[in-house]
This record gives sequence, C-alpha cells and structure tokens, in this order.
Amino acid sequence: MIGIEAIGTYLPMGRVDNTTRLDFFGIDKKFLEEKTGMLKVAIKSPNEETSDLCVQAYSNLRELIEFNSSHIDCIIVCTQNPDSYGLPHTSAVVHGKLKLNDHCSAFDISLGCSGFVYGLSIIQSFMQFNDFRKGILFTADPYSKVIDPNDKNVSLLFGDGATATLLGDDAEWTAGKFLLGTRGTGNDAIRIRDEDRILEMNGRSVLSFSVTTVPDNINEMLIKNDTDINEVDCFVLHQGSRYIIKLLTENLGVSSDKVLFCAEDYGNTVSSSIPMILKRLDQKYKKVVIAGFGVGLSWGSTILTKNIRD
Amino acid sequence: MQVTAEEIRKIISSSKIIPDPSKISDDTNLHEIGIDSLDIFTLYLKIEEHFNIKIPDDDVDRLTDINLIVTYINSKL
Repeated sequence: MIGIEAIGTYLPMGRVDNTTRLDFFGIDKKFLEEKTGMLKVAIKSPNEETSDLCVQAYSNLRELIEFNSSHIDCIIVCTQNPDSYGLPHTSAVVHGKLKLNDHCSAFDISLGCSGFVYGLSIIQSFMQFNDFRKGILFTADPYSKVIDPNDKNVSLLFGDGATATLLGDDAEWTAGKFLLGTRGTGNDAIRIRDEDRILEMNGRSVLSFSVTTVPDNINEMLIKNDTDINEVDCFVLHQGSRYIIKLLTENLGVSSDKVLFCAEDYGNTVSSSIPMILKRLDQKYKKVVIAGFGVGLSWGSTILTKNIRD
Repeated sequence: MQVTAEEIRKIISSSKIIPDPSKISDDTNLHEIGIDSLDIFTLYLKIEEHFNIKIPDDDVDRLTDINLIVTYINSKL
C-alpha cells in the first residue's frame, strides 16, 4: 500500500519579526499572540525561485532517508506561485534541477491551503494506477511573491516554505479515505488581483468558511473511515491562524491539546503547513487527522494511520 | 416576533468573546471595550446562523453596539 515514507522540509532563513510591526498595523501584542499567532513569518531571498525551495526540501529529504533518485517514478509540485509565469511547469524545472530520469513523470497542481491533502490523494491514486513504486509530492507556495507588505490581512500571516513528501510502499503513514470539497462561489475570498497581481483576502469570509465547513468535513470523513473522533490522537489542521485553530477545536469538540498550532516562528506556509508539522510529530501519535482548507474555496481531509516498520 | 437585546447578549455569551455580556449596556461600542475584528466576525457568524440571515460586509462596520444590531436584525426578519 502506497503511503508516506518520509517528509523533507525547507524554511528559508529570512524572517519578518511581526512584533516590530504592531504600531504600524495598529494592533497590540495580545492580538498578535492570541489571534494571528504568527510572531514571525519566513521569507525567501529575492533570488530564490519556487523550484529552488523544492530542491532545498528535497535535499532535506535525502538527509532523512536513503533512496535511489533514479527510482523516482513521478513528482508533483503543488503551487499557485510557480517559477516565472508557470510555463514551463515548475515540476519540470525541479525535475531538471534534480537531474531525474526521463521515465519520471512530472506535473503541477494548482491548489492553495488544501493542496497537501488533495496532492496526497492524487499522487497515491496516480502511483497505484500506474504501478509506480516511488513518488514525491512537493508543496511550495511562496506568497511573498504576491504580498503587499502593508496589507495586514495577509502580511502578518503568510510565510514561505516548501516540503518534499516521499511516497512508497514502505510507508510510515497510510492514508484512509479522503473527503474533498469545493465551493467555487466563494472563489473571490482569496485571490490575486488582476490589476496589480497582488494577493487580497477577505478575512471574514475565510474565517466563516473555515470554522463551519471544516468541522463538518472532518466529522463526515471520520464516518467514511468508520472511526470515532475519540480514537484520533491528534489533529493536524492547516495553520490558517491561531484563532482559526482555536475555533475549529471548539467546533470539533475535542481537547485543545489534540489540535496543534506550530506556526509561531514561520507563519502560514499554505500547502506546506500540514507536512511541516507531520514531519516533527511526536512518535506517540498513531492516528492523525489532517485537514487543509482555503483558496477556492477548497477543502479536504483524511486520517493517517502509523505503520510499524522494521 | 421582534429580536431583543437579551437575545443578542445570549449570542455574545455563546461566542465567548467577552467574559460577562450582561455588564455591557445596549449602546456600548463593542470595539471600545476591546472586542477585536476577529471576535466581531465570530459574533456576526453566530448571529447569521441563529437568525438564518446574511450580513453583508458593507453592513458590518456600522453594527457597533447591541442597539444597532437589534434594529438591524429586526429590519431583516
């Protein structure tokens, strides 16, 4: 059964310290700590491209687990901020930089904060149908390319980062059934403006959508997987903000120590937020719900079960 | 059936955005007692769910106290 073997991650060294911007944005430290939750956001250097972030995450993956790169059958890059204008596809650029074999297929998927969950479902299905043994799902969505640093709705939240998830049949984590959704009528809640190619977000719409749709999605997904919510050890939810995590915890009716918030020092890394946490998850957790939600509006969840490996 | 200030207080209470809504008067500006923008969004979400109405973004900024909220909702029902 194809599943997650290992996760490599990359956070650029650069940080924007949000505690130095309180007066500029007219907020207090309590709001920053308790509501947005991102004390710092990671920022890539101007000459780092999206594909470079992927390559760095891949390097980290190679440090964690041995595998022969010539045995990689496919790579997928999940991004909405590709290299240049997305042509050629960033996965092809990554394929070239990693000098992967010609038999390794490569394509991009365009999704935001739901991207890791969707991507996991896509790559597993793609690998199983094509009888592939090894594949890598990259997530890299450097919003610093499209953020107005003076817009507090987004500037205080989003950070740059990338992950590389190795999929294969010696899996540490196996995913259950996925439950995915879209509400296209809300597509303007998070978007790039045509006129200046800058990101804008309706915080109220995103908050309302997140705290109502995601708990229902998770509860339905658990029914689909014949799992009681009390059997879940831990919830790794997209790190939209500390406040969203708090409201989701309340609406799910679970203990707050089961729902992680880990983005204080690097921010909301979009589709990378879930694998960033999965990588450093405590070994004691055996059943973990993952749920991504955002741009689209799009959402998805599944349950990961830890396998005992030799 | 008219909405009352007490009903709104109950919704504020269930929103957990301030410790004791009974202590705020009907004309107290919610922003001035430290309720921030995200708490306000949560409150309006609860009101929308409770009364099955939609409060457009353009209306949110002017609903700054309980009196204004009560009048607004009654005009929508």
